[in-house]
Amino acid sequence: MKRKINFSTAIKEAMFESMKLDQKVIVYGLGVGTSGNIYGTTKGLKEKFGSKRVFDAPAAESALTAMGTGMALSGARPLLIHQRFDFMIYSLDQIVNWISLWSYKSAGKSQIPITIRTVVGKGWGQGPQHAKSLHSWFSNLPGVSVVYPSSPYEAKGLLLGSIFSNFPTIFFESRSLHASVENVPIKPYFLDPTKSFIRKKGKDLTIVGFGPSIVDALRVSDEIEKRKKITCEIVDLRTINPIDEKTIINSLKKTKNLCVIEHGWPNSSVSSDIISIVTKKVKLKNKPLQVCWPQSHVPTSSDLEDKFYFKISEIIQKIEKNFK
Amino acid sequence: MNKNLLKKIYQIMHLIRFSQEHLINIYHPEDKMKCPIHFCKGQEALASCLSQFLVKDDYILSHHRSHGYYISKKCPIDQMVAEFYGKRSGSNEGLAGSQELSYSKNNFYSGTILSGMFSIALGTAYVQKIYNKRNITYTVIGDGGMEEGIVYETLNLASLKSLPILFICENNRYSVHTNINERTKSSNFKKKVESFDIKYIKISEYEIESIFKKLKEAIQYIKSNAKPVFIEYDTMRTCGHVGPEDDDKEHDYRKLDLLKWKNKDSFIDLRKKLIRISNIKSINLIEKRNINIVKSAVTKAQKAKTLNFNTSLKYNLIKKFSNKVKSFAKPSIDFKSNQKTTKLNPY
Ligand SMILES: Cc1ncc(C[n+]2csc(CCOP(=O)(O)OP(=O)(O)O)c2C)c(N)n1
Ligand SMILES: [Mg+2]
Repeated sequence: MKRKINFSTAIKEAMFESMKLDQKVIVYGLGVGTSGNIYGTTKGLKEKFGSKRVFDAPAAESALTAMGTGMALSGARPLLIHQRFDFMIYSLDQIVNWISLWSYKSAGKSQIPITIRTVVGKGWGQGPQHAKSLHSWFSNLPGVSVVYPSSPYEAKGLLLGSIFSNFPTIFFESRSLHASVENVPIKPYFLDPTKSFIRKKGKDLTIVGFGPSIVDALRVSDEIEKRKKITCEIVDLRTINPIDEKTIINSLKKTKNLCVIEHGWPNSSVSSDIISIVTKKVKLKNKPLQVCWPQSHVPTSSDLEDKFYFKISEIIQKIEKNFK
Repeated sequence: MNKNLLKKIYQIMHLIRFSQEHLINIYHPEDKMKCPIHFCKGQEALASCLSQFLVKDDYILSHHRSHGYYISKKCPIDQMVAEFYGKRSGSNEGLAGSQELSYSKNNFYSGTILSGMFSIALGTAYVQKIYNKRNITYTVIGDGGMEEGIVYETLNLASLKSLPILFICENNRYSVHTNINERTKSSNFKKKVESFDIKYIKISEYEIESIFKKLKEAIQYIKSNAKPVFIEYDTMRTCGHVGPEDDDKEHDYRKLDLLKWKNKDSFIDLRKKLIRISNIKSINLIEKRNINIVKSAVTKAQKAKTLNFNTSLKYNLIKKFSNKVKSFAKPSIDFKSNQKTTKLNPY
């Protein structure tokens, strides 16, 4: 049975289901189980599963991540939540030097099945300290999976898939998507956090996106198909580490036109990586397009913020120009 | 203390001491162990005493100077030495070396980035606590590691959550070649630790009986109060910081310290005592066995094969899932473009 729910409810359901499925799931982080409850997503969790398995924590992101490493090492499935991605940066040593290395250095004998949910803000003056999205940093790293769901259905299934994977996962979540709605099954289900998929079939242009850029891709595709005689194929990456090359390349072999949309900075980014992967393997008809933020910090002022984020009309213009 | 117990401790202590000395001796000119190794010669006593308290489900999470604790957790010498030689038969198939040595079957782990393991102890201990396992997490750190910020986040959380952790700080007063007084105005760990409401125990004696007694007190405290304890163990590294080289000769950085500790070697002290209360023959027998263990480990490691390179690449991310995951659902393509974006508020 399916019904329409929004993204944040989907996330909440995934956490409830995971805790019901396995008593080794532990959910914690700053603001978990207290008034804010991570934008409402952890509301009711502590009441249902108790304060040992669901707890708020001191502002000590490094040690909290290390704690998750230790929990995972000893058989638990910790879910650490950062209300804002920017706070997670304190824990880089744990993520890079410990979590990502663990399986490799143990020759696969020991695993760290931790999931880190990290929320990227957007709009209303979130500004330079509450709206960064350094997902690309983590796609550079061996030993961790990085997922970025694009819709409520994806969010629920991917969070469950991530919590019950035996490898570590960083789960990016765009705050701007929290209100988006979709049909989502009531029952728990798992999505493979290592695979991309074709969200929409088309023949002439492949739009590659992930997380919040999928809504952009859908809008762009709707508009373009209305105005031009071309059809768009949308690749929803779902995972940016590992990158599912096969799905991307197969689409490009057909369309031979590429546009990548990414909510993040362009330098050393997932979008530049995708363009590099594709152009090494497929001869494109037109030059590939990269749609990103300017290589500049996110402004607080709402007027400037409005200029900072790319607009659908701009993407369409770029594509049309490219398609002459 | 009873003679047999002392002998058991001596067996471990000698195994640690001899393995360190032997590996130091053969490191050059053979040059087959091509990795940074932090030998623990001089610092064996606490690990040796600890061996008498450990059970399999206890965790040891150690800093870089880890060999003593690896041995005290009854992990195999063969695999340790092979690991230093970078061989497939090593405990980590040669991918970790000495710096990240581990033996997961016995819950022994170590790592070289300062203070990470100290903090990871929070998680193993938390799981021990909330799932009612009556085990302890032992974590080892040096005086240098105590300088990292994560240490204080960790002490706070350990105390807050009343975790069964024994924090062991091996204070040898040096971080590489820099004396502690050049690194901090306040080398008083007692003050720092107690400010988190954590029980602090100091071991400044070098005799095994005293070390054993204090360790026992610490472990009993953790078990009966379900709270962490911090031990500061004053000790002396009588080898170089890293590698087999004698860095005192080269850098002359701690002459006075060496002098102060000259007659305080726990190993020599225990050996003398055992010869007095037992007999030299039985001591020699213990030593002979240990020497064989180490030498045969070296021979085996020298002959062993290295891991296949392509196999090593597969260890980064092993795509396995919990048995709760029976199958994966198909993607849904319902999602429409006319989505509202989230209205934000200051939270
Ligand atoms: C984060 C970090 N910084 C620096 C180092 C380099 N380093 C390796 S061992 C060491 C000395 C540590 O001293 P201490 O903790 O007292 O341990 P000891 O070597 O004396 O046993 C240093 C600085 C490191 N491994 N990790
Ligand atoms: Mg030191």
